[in-house]
Amino acid sequence: MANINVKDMIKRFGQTEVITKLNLEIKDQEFVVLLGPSGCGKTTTLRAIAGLEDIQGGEITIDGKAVHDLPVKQRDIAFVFQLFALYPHLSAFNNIAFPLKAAGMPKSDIEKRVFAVAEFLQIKSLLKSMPSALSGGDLQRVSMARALVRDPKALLMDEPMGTLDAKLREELRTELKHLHIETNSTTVYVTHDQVEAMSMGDKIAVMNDGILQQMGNPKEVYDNPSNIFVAQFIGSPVMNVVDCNYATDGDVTHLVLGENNSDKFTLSKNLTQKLKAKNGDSKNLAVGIRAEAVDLKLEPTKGYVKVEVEVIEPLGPFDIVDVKVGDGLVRSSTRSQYVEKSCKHVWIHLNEEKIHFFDTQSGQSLNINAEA
Amino acid sequence: MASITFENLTKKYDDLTAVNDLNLSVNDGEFYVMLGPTGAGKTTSLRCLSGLDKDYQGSVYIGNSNVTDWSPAHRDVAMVFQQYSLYPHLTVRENLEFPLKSKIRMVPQDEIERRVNYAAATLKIVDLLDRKTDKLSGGEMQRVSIGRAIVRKPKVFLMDEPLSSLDAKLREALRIELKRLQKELGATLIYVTHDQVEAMSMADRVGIIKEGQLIQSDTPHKVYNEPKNTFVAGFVGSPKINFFDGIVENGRLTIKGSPHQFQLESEILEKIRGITGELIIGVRPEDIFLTHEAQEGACEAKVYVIEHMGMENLISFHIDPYHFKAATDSAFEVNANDKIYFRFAQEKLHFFDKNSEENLV
Repeated sequence: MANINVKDMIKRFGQTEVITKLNLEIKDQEFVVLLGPSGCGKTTTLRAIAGLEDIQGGEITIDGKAVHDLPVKQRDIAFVFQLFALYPHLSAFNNIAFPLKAAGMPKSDIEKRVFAVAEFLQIKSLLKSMPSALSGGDLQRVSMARALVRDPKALLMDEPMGTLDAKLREELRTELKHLHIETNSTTVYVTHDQVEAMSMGDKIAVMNDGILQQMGNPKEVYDNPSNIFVAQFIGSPVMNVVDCNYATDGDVTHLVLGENNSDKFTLSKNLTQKLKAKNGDSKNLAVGIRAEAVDLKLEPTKGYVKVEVEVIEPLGPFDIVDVKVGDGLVRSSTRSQYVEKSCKHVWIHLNEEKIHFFDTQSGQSLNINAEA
Repeated sequence: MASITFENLTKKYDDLTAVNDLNLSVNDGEFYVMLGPTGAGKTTSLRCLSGLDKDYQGSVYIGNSNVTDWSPAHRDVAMVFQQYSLYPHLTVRENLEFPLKSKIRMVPQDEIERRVNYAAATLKIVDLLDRKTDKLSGGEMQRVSIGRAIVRKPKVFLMDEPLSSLDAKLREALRIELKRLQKELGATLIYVTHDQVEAMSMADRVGIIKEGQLIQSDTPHKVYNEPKNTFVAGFVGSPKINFFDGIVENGRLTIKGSPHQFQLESEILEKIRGITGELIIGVRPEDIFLTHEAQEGACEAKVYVIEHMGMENLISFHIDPYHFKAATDSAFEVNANDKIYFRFAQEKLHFFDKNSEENLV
């Protein structure tokens, strides 16, 4: 397997620049997910790495060797379009052997390679089975074996689970992650589904409009999003991002959310100081806070603000309660049935350690962390 | 608005029974969600109710009227589909006015204006009224489609996967709006989806449908916590509930095929009223507790995969031949192949019959 580096890559279709100076560092054995909405350039990036698209600037290297001018064949990469699309009329063995046969390898070598990869992925007992007789997890193993049998430098996957139903996807993503732990194959995986990205990626590269927004491990992109786009693309329910300002009154500084709002959240001295250092004039400021960091009580509580309940959304393990703050809504996740339907008002508190501040002009995080 | 009743509704296409003896009453002013996999018969049920599908057996009532033989126009239901069927050459306002200008309805002009303005204000599309619909985003188009249903003041709203083609963020926002809107209008609404999150979050009641049959019709809380059978338990909830074969004997629960045993608490034994033998046990990921250290009443397992989901970590482990997935706090860190110890929140275990797969409690 190998390191893949994308450096200052530019891709244009005609006059339109679809990828702007993209930099990606994919380390040997890493599972990197390219995540973003449709049209963000993630598939184009993957295709450029594979050699299916030429690039108009920058370079792509595999193990330090520039490959962007090499044809697909010489890049030694396996492109997996769909993880489960096996040839239905061929046995598992013949499915796995297919790419080797196509390359004209002698029969005895083919057998050796197929048995070796089957042993590795623990599917030797399945080699004679037809795809129709295999479970979803086994199909995935056979597909993986087919991709790995040529011993490629990296696996590239473009929404390989896109067409499958939700429950099967859930099961298979666990399996695929486990397979990655077993095989350690350098993998670049494209998806628009943040759940898939979070669950499988060692690293996630979040893209939007052809620009890399942030690259980091799942915890980093979830806990420290670099801008509003990442903050709201990662995580479900979507992070609350509300325009805000703050004002000091004597000794106490209050945070006011939204417009037409008299609700005031008291800020600690520590956070106030940091906020003033980064955003002295209290302009163009938005607060971001995840639903699980909005604490909610049924009774008046010190430091909590009284708000109106708008909608309760039961999700099973927990409920989301949407409350009115100023003109907008803020979502809080609570224990199931904690807030009853008849409940008109509740009291909320923002967990300071989990508050994010953003500049509403640039969208960038101010990187203020109350904990540190 | 009006209540809705399906009475022994059966709809066949040649050999295929799309809806099989559906009996269901939806209350006046209720947000009812039909939930099920593709091909379960949800959309067909809606089409029979709206009159778009004919030649069905059984009866359909809207309010007190048996509308079984009525034409679609006379049933007074408004449908919203996944594909927004707006007129691209008309403005938003013209699209909204369109259903009111039909000859059957004869709505006076000032009334048309009043209703269009009301719908536009409610859906926050006042600014868009003079725009052509082909200049709108997906979310805006779906708002207009809903607006076109609202202006008609129908007896019943029917929605068929209206949010499916929108991105996740917009879907979340519209989910809330739709629920507020329905309450504000006091509308009777039947909503069809295959997405359990949509169903759970919006519905007053959820009807889970499989192969043309209504399996369970209950509040979201009930279908999640008291599923009627393994299908409902498996369809609702993400990540999915864990199932395993368990043997209940002498007050102990054994994971079949493994040495793992748990002493059942007395309240649980009371709840299952002396049921013993081989059962299917269901346990949701959040009802499995993991620890790094050995604990009284906990069993040992090896970590298979860990998934960092941000809000929580999902940790899979194997107890041959079963897979389990547990949801933990995001601070709980382990690596693949680490040893962990697990136990169940026993009051949250679900007990199903081995053969019928029905909930035994």
